[in-house]
Amino acid sequence: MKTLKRLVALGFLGASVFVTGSVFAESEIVIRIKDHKFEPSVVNVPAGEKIKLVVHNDDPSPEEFESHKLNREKVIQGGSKAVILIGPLEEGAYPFFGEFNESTAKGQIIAKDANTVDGASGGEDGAQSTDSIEPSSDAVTFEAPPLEGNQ
Amino acid sequence: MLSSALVVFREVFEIVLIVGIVMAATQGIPHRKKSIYLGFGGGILGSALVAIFTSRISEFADGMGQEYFNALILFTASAFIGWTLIWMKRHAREMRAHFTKVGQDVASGRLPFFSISFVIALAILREGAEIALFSYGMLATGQSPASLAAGFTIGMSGGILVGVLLYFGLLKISTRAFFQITSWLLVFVVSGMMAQGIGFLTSAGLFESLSFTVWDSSWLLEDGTLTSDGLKALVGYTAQPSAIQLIVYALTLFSLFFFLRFSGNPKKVSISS
Repeated sequence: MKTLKRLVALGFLGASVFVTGSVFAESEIVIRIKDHKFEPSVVNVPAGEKIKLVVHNDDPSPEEFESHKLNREKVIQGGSKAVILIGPLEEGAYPFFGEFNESTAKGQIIAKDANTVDGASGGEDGAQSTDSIEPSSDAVTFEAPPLEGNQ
Repeated sequence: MLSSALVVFREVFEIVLIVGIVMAATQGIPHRKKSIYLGFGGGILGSALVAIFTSRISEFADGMGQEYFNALILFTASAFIGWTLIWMKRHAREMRAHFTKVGQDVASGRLPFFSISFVIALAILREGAEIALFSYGMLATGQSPASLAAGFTIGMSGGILVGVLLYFGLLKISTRAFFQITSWLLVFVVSGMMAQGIGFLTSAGLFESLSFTVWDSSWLLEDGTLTSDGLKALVGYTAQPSAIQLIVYALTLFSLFFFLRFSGNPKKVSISS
């Protein structure tokens, strides 16, 4: 029974991996954890694209990057880094936090459709976010690299 | 100190729900006390090991090692619980008659001895590693050991209290019916674990085409609350389930249901009085 169950699970896994989409390079964003805070704490990304978050833990103590809305949780040892794949995201705000230091380690990812992300750096519309996180001056806007042959 | 207590409590809470149900559900299986102790020991030791090797584990598989590791733990625990459930179904008659075949069954590997140990160890392992890392982190950043110890003790005791209450509560309401309530609970636990495991694989980039969120029930019950954490451990609740998670959940639930419902023609066993 146990073997059968495992075989079925493996078979399912194997078959489904082939169903998944093509592999292409995701856009990469770096977030650093310092003094139990995320820098930047607000990150703007284009909606509808795969994003690769690289979170560096510059603190000596471990932290757990967690986000319910993004459905991700990952422990990062002090002085180490972790890669977190997210997206494609629908438009909206996706809060994340450091579970070990929730009072200070908070941030959010804001996904916007590409044609509404203008060249402005750092700012975000106040109306966009309904979370209690204050807009930080070090917010980063990420622009997708131009896609070859598209549009 | 309070924040430490809260973090520890939440992690312990998830552990005790699973362990409590498994302990209550396996009432009547011979030698289970030994399995349980072994499981606890293994889980605690394992947690320390995983905590130490967190970075190494993460670096595997292009940085997705942690996701694969967590998925593996969840799938393995599911398999073991599933097997234990089926075993209990098959031997229900003997268990009801408090039939104990000492030695023979353990030797022939027919008792779910290590299964129970593994389930408990695995249940402790994941969250246990987080507790270990969190505690180490708190110490490293200069929080006074006394304050941390106090918070740790409060959180741990609170969590264990919940577990004890749950265990005895389940024993009380558990009926003498052919298949006890606790066993049915485990069916949901397994389904939840499988869905959670698949969720980790999605985080690692697998099943892309089925990784879209099907619905968002945060208006009803947000993730991260105590209630939702409890439901997550018990039935695998998540406010934003992905398509593949729902598929796996349903498949597991129905497969287990049918296996258990219809595999249960216990062979006539001569029970020595």
